[in-house]
Amino acid sequence: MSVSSRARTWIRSIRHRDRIDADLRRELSDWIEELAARYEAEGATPDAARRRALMETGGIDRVKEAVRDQRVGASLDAFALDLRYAWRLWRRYPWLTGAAILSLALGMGANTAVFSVMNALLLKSAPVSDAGTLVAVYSTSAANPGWHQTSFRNYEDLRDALPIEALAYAAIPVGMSDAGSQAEQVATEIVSGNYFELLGVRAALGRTFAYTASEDKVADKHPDVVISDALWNRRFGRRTDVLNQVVQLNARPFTIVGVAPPAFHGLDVIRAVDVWVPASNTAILTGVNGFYFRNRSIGMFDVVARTTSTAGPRQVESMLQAQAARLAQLFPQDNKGLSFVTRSFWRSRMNPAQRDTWVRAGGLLTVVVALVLLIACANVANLLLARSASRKRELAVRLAIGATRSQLVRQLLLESLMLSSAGALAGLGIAWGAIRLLSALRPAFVPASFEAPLDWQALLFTGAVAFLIAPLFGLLPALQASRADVVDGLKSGEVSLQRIGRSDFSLSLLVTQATLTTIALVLASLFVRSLRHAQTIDPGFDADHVAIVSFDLGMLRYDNTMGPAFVRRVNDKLRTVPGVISSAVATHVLLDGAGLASKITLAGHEDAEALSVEAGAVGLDYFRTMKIPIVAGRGFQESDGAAVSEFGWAVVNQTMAERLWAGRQVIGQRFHVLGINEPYVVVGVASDALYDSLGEPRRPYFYIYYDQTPGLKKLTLHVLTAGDSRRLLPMIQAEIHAADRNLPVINARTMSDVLRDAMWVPRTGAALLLMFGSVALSLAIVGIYGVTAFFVRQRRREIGIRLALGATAADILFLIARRTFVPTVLGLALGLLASYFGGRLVAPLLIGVRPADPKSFATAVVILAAAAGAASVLPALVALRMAPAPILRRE
Amino acid sequence: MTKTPLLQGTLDLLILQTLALGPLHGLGIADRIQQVTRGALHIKAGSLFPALYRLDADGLVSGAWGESRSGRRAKLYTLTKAGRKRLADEKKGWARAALAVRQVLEMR
Repeated sequence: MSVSSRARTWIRSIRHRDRIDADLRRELSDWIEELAARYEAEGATPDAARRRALMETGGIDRVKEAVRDQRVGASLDAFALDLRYAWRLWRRYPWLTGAAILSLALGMGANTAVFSVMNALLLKSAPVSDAGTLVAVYSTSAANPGWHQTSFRNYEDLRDALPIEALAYAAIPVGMSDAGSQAEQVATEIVSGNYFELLGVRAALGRTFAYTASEDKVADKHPDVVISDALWNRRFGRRTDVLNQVVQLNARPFTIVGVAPPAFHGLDVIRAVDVWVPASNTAILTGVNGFYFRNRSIGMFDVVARTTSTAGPRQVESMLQAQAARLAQLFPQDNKGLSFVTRSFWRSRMNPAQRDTWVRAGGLLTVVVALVLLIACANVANLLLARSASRKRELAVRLAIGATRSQLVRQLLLESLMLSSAGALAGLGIAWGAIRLLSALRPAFVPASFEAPLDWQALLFTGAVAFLIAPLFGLLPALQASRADVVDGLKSGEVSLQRIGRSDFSLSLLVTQATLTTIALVLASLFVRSLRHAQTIDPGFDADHVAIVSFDLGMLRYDNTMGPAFVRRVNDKLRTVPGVISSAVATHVLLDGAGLASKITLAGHEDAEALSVEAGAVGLDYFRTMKIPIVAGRGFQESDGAAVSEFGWAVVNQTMAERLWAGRQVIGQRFHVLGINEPYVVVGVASDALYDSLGEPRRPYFYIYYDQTPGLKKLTLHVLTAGDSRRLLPMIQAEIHAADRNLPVINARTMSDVLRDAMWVPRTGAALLLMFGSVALSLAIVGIYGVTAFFVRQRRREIGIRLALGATAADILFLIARRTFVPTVLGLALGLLASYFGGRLVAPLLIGVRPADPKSFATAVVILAAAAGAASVLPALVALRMAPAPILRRE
Repeated sequence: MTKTPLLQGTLDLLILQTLALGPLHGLGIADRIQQVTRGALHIKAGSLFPALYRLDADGLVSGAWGESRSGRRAKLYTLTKAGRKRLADEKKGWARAALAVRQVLEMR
């Protein structure tokens, strides 16, 4: 029978359902009458004949149920009936249903929100062709293990030597201006000429660029750029005449040749790119980036290679190994110990170190929200169990009139599925709110363009979760209910606890709940304590009164004399502004990300493998402005900036001094920075500060003098103020504007803003975990309360008798509290054990708190014990207020 | 009277074969099967009606209200064209299966 004719029959059968039912009724009564007549003819009395006929037929309702199950579309029919039935039940138990749906919605909403964010951050592939065959290539070495970017020189050699295609891209700061509009900073990537071709990304408008390797080497021949859909929309109003328009990038003319498709924002998942520039345009790479671009020893580019059927991932890896060895041999100074490693492309869509943190944080969040969902499921299972117990009489009636047990189970499972679907729907609303909340908490390093949409994947995820958890909380109560005994159920209408074993089951649910809640509470208190510790950390500088304003002199092609002159002019002007105590420039803002990556060798040990140490170039008065104490020697002075010098001057931090020259006189020591001819001489030691993040271990760091490295053009002006530094920000910007009208200010904020952003991880972690911990706790309270209340209702009679016989209130309380005490304590112990052994996984996310922190464990114990106590004593008090006489009379 | 358990799926075949001889109402079908098998197969309402209604829904038999041979009001079932074809197919299949089973059972 074809599908269409089956469908027709089904539709007909729906339309004629009533007629079919009537037919069947008539047929059956005819059948019985005819049989009865036959038996009567055989000599039975009319009564006996009719009884026998009825018995032989086996119950009209049972036959009707069997027929209904058999008919085409019967299952759908039954489904509709079951739905209607479930809906009636919902209306009969509105509070219980509401509580169940709310529990599930909280659990599922949290899961969906976390899934959406993690999916967008960690799982989504870039909209490129055949992403499965792409691999990311990183540089590494024994002295500097990890995943590092690759220098353009090494990339070029790799690409030219190997029979595989590879592309490279790097972010550079670029100021864009065009006729008649304000200069702005745009997120730009400088990319190898084969970038778009290799990725298979076609322009949505105009064309992309495609240059060969040899064309990449001809400087400034192709000043073409491709812009993003977002930039096209924001700055050019989607006008098609944007093609061939000339824009100024870092004060150089470039021609827009195409617009990228809307879905493509580059390969980095966090940094949405607005402008792609071919790598041959080295002219816009001034200052620090030009230095990096030419320097073989320092990686700045991300490299992606495409594997083929002949050169699979393993061949590519071994080819890269051989190439790395060759490069290390050819350029021993720059590439000492160099090795290339590959990583699957989808895992390389953000900086690997950053990704590891996200994976850890995401894993933690996933575990916590899964805990919340499981607690919610345990809760709902308990609620359903309580209800199915009080529904026992009704189920017994249905069994007696001919429903099969499988029908009952199906019915109850459908109810669970309806509950979880309703929970999923409400959960989507919660997830939407939660994502908005998360993006409001977004740290500065995640740009506003990053989106975690509730897309079809999130919907699919929520649907799958809803489908999977329904049997989790629905199956056991359903099986329990279907085991109901007909006679017993009809007789008493009460539940005999022991017989259906409900109490054991719900007590084990209590243990599970207490375990999960304990874990959630321990995590929450760990992160709260971590946050409190982070708030007391001394960053090593005075964050309270420093305003900072960033700009990039490279955007206006300042040369090495114009730069320092501009800085001096601005500083001189600022010193006359009331409220300004001192001001200084620096290439890097402390606590706002890595400094200049430098490789150094000590004088006398030039052949040793170079050490990676970060550095920052700072101007005159920097240490005074930031209030960083100089513990030995001196800070920089005006005379250090003499135009010609055979030495560079350096101030090292305490950790660097201790690690490299322990026990020796530090002042006067010399070291080399790879790529720079003049050796550096240590003139002072500054006390340690925090450079990259709040939780970082002590790390070596050194400062060089800005006036000696005027090629560094991305600068931040630090201004120490007497009062509120934020109020002086407009004044400072006005002074910069007065010094050069065309220079865009990239960022204007205060050091306390920077400190606040650095607090993002501990603060958000504490906020989220506190939130989920409270949800878990409230669910657990509902669960314990429910079980106790149920127990009290079951034992009303016993309590009544005991009270009548003179039991004290304390006796009764003890009787009741004992029920929840054991499972709670057991769960608490299991939860503490799990937290103790699982805690090390979150250790890197904690600041100044060990994962096995006794205080956090104690907090969790006290909170859970108090909550469980309250939740079980409350129903007991209600029980005590009942007068014994009426209860006993009713029984 | 020995009761023979009904093989799964054979009830449809029996009903179709019974109706091939002419229209019958429900009890008539059950009686006929009992007669033909000399009481070995006793079909109850709980098995017969589900099967009949399924066959009806599949378009293999059609029921219409009329009069039974004893003159009672009854719903008479007739084999449709599709039912006839299905019967022929099933018979062939059944014969093949029966032969195969016998061959196995008589194997020495």
